[in-house]
Amino acid sequence: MSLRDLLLSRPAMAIRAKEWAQIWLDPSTFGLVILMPLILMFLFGSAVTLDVRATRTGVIDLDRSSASRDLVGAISHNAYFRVVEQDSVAAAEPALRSGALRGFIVIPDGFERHLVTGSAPQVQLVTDGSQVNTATLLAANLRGALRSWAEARSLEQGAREAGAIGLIPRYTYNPGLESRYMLVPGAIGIVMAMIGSLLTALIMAREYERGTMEGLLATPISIPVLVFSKLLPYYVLGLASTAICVAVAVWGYGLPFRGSYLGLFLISSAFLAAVLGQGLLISAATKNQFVSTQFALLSGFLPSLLLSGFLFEIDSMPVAIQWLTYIVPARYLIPPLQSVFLVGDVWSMFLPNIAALLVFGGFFFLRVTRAIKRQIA
Amino acid sequence: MNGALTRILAMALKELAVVLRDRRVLTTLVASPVIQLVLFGLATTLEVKNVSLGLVNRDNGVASERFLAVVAGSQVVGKIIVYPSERALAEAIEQRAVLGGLILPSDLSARVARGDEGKIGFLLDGRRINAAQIVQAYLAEVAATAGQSLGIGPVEPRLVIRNWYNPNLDYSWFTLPGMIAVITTVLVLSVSVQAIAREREFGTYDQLLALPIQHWEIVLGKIAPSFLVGLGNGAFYVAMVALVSDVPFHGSFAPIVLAIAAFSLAVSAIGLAISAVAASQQQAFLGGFLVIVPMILLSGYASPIDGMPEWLQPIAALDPLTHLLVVCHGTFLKGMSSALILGHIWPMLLVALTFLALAVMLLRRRSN
Repeated sequence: MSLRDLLLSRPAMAIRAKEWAQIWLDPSTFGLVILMPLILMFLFGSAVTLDVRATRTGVIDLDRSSASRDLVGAISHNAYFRVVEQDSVAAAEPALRSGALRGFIVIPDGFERHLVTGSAPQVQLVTDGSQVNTATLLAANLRGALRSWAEARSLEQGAREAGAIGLIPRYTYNPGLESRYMLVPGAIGIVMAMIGSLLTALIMAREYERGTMEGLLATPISIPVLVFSKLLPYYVLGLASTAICVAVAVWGYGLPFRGSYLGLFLISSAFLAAVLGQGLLISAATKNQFVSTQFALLSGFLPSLLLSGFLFEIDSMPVAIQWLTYIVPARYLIPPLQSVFLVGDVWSMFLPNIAALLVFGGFFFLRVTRAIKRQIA
Repeated sequence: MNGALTRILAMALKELAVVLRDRRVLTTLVASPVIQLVLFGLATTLEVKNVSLGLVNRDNGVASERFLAVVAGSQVVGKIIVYPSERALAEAIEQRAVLGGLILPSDLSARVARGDEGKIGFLLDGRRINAAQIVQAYLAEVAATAGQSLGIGPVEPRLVIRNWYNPNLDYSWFTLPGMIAVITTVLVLSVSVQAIAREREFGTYDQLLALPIQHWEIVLGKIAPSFLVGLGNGAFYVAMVALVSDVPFHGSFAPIVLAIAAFSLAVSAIGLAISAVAASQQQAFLGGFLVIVPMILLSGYASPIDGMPEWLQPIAALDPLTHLLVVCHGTFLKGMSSALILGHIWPMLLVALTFLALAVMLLRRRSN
């Protein structure tokens, strides 16, 4: 089979024309290709943020001294907290239970007395542990606030030098600490995974469900040509979606684009080859649109969102799940995609990932042609 | 009215038969959610542990020793890889071999011994900004403590932290009850969007219109399978998570099942409204997808609602999933009272009514 057969033979062109006509006649495909990227880019650019600002925090000052008032003032002015003063723990408790507060700080009686005598006074923080991430960040932010308050206070009182060992962080590629820079490229991966697996999951199942598959198989077209020609239009749509995403990311959200379009094109093509093949295999194997979409969700969209390392660090997952991430194509997409925006063309990292994705693509392609062939026999 | 009830019931039974007839559909409805619950419930942790860090150490004194001993012993840091130069470190970060690297200057211990501030450089990968910031906050704390243990620095208030409802901040206590809500959403919506679109695709919808049955009766009958699938599966997951996992269950079963019922009704109604406009199953599925993704992302499962822009927060409050998540976490971890749960049930019912009315209206308009 030559490339000519795959691309330019009459049956190939006929199937492609038919697929294009079907896409053209159904506005929902365009809805997915154009609307989905816009919705997702908006959500990941503007709604989803992992930064915790202005956490609703109760403060109970039982000391009522000048030192404790000073500390309450410092916390109130800190952008990480939105302080609500409470009289007692009994008053704060229902607020924490209903979710009106995410935590409360208790400054115990004797706070100033301890401070003056030079022994470290206690400050208590009670968090809403049901919101694990917020609770962790609340504690870290309060720790930071207490430290800078203590340092400022000791400088005021004439101490020579603040903290003995300081950590000076420098963030490469993202000095402004924008969580958007991490989330938006990830969102592009999600869009591609979705378009790739969901659209193709429907196309074969539809033919089977409507009974038109036998008609297709009765034509003299060879199976690889059929599969390839069915995929090609969706590959073009996937690339179009990616282009929309990149445009929104760069012009709408001001992400830098430090790599080359060639790099981006190669990575996206390799990833699309993998997910399109995956969707088509699901479609050919299940032959039912409902089952097929459920499988596409289960094996395409959700793993891309949850197991690709884009939202949740792979290193932090249980070991068995870490192994599982190796068979999630999105795992090989996210690092090069983030790099092509923030770092540049890191070919030494791109090429192994592209190779892995192409292996996935080839494997799925072979499986699909086999799955279809078996039926004729 | 009795006639209407009979007709709705007949419609509902027929719909249930359609869904339950297909073995593959049935298997999908049972097997796939359980896999999702277990797999994704375990995987989705925003907690950061076991990360690899690089190290360029030019100091061999007591300060770096004290600092590195704590770093190496912590759960947050996994492997520490030593690099000869800052350049090698920067390359490793570019390749994503390490999340970041510590640079200990040669005068660190000497400065600390003199009573000056010792400065440790920390280069981090800005692509993985979330994990990077958490590790940085943690190491800043380690550095300060190491400094204090060497006997310098100001008197600092000691922070005593207690995490109510989840004392060890176990992340699966957040994800597993949350997953119940997320999976129920996906399931209910996928079943409900095909209700009417399927009949249209197969051309049986016209026959339905020829029957002596009202539009609202069709809608109520059509809602039955997805509603029952949601209620049954939701209640089953609650029981499963409560019995099998180590997540505590402090609330009572009845109110949370009531909330799941209200939620299933709301999501079924949304699905039916989509189904009413869709011409084919494909359109219905894709339309459903356009709704599922924002519903999940705005609900506070993936990221806290507090962090969203002010104007978006009221919109998030309209999302039924937002309310079910609060109820799930509240029931499992906080022992939330029935009164508080009721406060989350009525917004879901409001969504249900709105979309049911919308679905009836859309059907009526299309058949005219």
